Amino acid sequence: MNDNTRYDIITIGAGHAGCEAALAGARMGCKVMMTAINIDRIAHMPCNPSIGGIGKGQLVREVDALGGEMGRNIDATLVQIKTLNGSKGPAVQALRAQADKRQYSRLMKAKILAEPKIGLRQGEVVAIERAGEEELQVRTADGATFTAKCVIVATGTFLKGEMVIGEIKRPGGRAGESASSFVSGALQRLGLELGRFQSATPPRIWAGSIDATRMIAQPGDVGPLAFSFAGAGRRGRRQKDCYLTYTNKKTHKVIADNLHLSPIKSGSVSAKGPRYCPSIDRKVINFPDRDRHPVFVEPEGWENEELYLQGLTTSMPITVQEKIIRSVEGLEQARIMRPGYAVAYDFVLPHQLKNTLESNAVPGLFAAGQINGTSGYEEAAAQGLIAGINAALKCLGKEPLIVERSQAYIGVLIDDLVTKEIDEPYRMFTSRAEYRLVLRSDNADIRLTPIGHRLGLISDGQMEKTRKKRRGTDECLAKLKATSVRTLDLPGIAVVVAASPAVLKAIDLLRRPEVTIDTLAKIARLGKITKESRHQAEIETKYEGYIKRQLDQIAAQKRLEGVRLPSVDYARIEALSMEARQKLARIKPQSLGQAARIAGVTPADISILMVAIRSKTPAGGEN
Amino acid sequence: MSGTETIAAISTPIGPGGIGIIRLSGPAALPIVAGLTSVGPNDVNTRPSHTTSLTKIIDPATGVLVDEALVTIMKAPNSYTREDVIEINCHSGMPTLRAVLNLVLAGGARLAEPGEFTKRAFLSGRIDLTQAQAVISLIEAQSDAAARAAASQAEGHVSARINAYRQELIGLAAELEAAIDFSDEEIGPVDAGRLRRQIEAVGEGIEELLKRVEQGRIIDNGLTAVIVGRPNVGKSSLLNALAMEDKAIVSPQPGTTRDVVESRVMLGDVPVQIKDTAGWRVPGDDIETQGIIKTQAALAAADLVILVLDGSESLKAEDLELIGVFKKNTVVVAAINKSDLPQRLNADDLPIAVKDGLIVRLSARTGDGLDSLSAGVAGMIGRLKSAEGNEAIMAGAQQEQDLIRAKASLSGALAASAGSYGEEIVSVFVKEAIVHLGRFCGHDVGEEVLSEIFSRFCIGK
Repeated sequence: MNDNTRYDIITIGAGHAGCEAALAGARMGCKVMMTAINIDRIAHMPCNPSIGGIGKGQLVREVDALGGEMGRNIDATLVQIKTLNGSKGPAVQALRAQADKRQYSRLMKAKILAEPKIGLRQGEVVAIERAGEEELQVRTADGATFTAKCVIVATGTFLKGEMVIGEIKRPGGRAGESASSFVSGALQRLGLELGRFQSATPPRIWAGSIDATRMIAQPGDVGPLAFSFAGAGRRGRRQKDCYLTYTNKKTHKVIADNLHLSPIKSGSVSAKGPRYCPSIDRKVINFPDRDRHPVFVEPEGWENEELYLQGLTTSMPITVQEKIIRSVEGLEQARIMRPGYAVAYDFVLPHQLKNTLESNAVPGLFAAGQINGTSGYEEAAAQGLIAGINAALKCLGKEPLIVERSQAYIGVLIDDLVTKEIDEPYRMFTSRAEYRLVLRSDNADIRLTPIGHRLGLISDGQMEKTRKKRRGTDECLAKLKATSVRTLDLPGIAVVVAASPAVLKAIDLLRRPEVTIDTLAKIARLGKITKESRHQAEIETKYEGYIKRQLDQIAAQKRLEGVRLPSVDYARIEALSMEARQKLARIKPQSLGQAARIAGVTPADISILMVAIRSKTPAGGEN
Repeated sequence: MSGTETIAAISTPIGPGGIGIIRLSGPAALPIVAGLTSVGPNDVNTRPSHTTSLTKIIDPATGVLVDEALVTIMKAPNSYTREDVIEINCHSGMPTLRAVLNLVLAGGARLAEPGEFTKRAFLSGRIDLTQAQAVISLIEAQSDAAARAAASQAEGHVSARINAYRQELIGLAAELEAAIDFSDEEIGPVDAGRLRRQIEAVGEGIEELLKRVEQGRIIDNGLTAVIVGRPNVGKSSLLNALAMEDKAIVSPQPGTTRDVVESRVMLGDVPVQIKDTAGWRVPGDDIETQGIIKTQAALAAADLVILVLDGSESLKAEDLELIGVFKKNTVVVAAINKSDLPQRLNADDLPIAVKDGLIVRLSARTGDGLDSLSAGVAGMIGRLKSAEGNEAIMAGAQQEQDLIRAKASLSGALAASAGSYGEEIVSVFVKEAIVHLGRFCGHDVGEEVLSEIFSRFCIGK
């Protein structure tokens, strides 16, 4: 324990993935060395100053339910919080918070420092090598050497990062920070294949230079909202507004006149960027008919300093950026503090990883976060947590944790990464989850907290709270099933049920879209049941029929998950398309279900595989 | 993956026909057949692919000539299974076919499992699943019309249309998903009116396809026709004349046919299941009462009614009473029998329901006018086959279910969209419809579907 060169786990990088990985590893009892190029930028937010969103918000809830840090950290440092998709069903509702990005970073650093089993060291990693049978060695540019059983690479966009503004290109991981030049080579020497992606961020302007009166204020929600299941949120807490304004014809003319200077046109950025996060240049090219695009002006913290211009991502030359911004209503006098830029970086092709995020080729080597080709803090945190948990389980000699697609968005995220060959930075959407009606923000604790508790990441108290919620929900459902309601007793909904039998079970009434649980609270004697459990019972009841339909839909897929793929020589199955043969040989799926999700493997290919596997298995060989 | 075993089977339906084909597929097909045939200029080992030659099949153990057969060689990969395929076209009935098959099996081939040839064709990438499904229909087709429909389907016309619907729904699902996942950005909610119109249009298209599936079933299984008439107007004689076999008992004693007698005949190119019934008259005894109840049941189930009238007598009250029992919209053919006798029946006296249909004068005894009846009935059936490009669809029961379910899912989507349900619920229904349509075309099929398809194949195809 006194040897300060030997650790159980080394994390390279201290972003959202690295922090969750290190904290989970240490909290599960492992000795962790956390290295970072700049330890003043722990859990930094180099792009948007917000956490959560549709799909992403669900991920944050799941990270929290499993015992991760992101939910608590944002709850403590947010400047605004709201529910998105509030007018839609609970399955697609999600929280999003605007963060005070400096406070967020400082608080996370404090939590890292408070963890006695984590050592924090500034340094650029220059080598990752095998050291003996079961160990890996990491060396920094300063000459420090650490060995560990597991190494979690969570270097974000730093690998051979190259920043682009107009025609100017220079090495850099993100604004104000140098790139990591050696980790790419170290990973390649270990046998990992790398790809190259690109991402971009809009300019930041001085908060004192806008005219907020000419923009539409976007306040947060008044109700008590919180990401963490351990917290309750506060009604009417102090929040800060965002502002909405729009681009206009003048803006679009500036862009059109200067398109030749845009890196996407000049070809100085050739790596694939995310389609769902287009630059304003791209939007103007792709949607010539639109005469305006929204611009959300978001504070980066409580201090009235910098504002983030969501919707104005560009890496045009600075003079053009200034013209674009100043053409927008309310931003005529805006002063750029940090220009927008694009960054191209190496990433690890994630199909080389297992569902634990450990590499297939190098036992003990894990990768998590943007290095795996994802985008977003939430996706990074989720991976960091899973990598940290699995590295710790490996050190402790325990079975790995694999989160299934049916269990959590985290399972969807990781399965997609290791199965589909991603060709653009991966962002979570609710539509990626085939179990969407089940994987909700409101029940992430019921789904995952028992797992977190078993791992030692969730306190007994928190676990008991979750059990109570479930028990209350079940009790509520039982009461609803047992209560017969005379429709006459329910003024207000009499019209609706006029054509129905005069006596109904309360639970059947609740299935109707216009009936809420509050209408039934008195008659079904739900007084003692907490609001949270009631709400849970209401959602489960209303969704029940549709969840069943959804499960029926994926039943076939689920059966495919159960069909293990023996070592198959795909090249010999002539009926498979050439692409399918290559992809299957490359990704080596564990089950037919996973095979079916590989891009380029068609349902026809799956039928062929099914028949081929069966032909291979001698008939009647099961007795 | 085609397997290394060579398989063989009799590939024509087992029946009394004089000609039968034994098919072999696999790497040993050539040497196995070479072992049974004489060496010479027509040696199967040296002949080019895709040639047929008259060849003596000799039992190698005894040297005895078993049959003289036409042997066709199709070398890999230019064959149905993409393996070496040989077809031995024997001439001499079932016993010879069995003998030749036994020689082939003794030579090292294995008896093919049901559907194994097509399974190999599928596994070798030669055909896709929809085509495989159509092949079943082709094998099982009992008529040219069924064969044409199956052949058209094998070419992929139906899948193309279903795929187009599926693509449209995938587009809708994408819009719904975008409205959910990007609601905080620039994408507004989906225009519910347009969404419903699109769903309705696809639903109507599927409805139309379902009608064609129904037609396909009629063509596949044949029509059911029922022969009705007063006693002794010549119903059984007509059935026998059509079937050209003595299936119903014919006697001059009225009321001989007391049960319903069935016969399968070809009218035009469509198989028709014809039921003969007891004569329609006021019951004389219990047996006749039962016969009349059965006639009524047969009338209710029939696609087509052949009303037999006696041309040598004038129209009787019982004739009119019988016509009065017909369902509304019954397709009626009036066969005015006994045209070889002096005619007393005036067709103008027939009720409108009959006059509007087909009226044929014929004689079951001499066979006069039978052709007109066949042609007339075939013409009425022909309406079911509709115009070019709108052929009936040969669908398996599973596929018909897929369409019905897709239709139901779309109705669900419409209801959810009309009610106050969110996009995430509408999306459940739309995706469900996509899954069902995908299954129809052979996407997303479960293993159980596959095994069902392949086990339904006849041995030998």
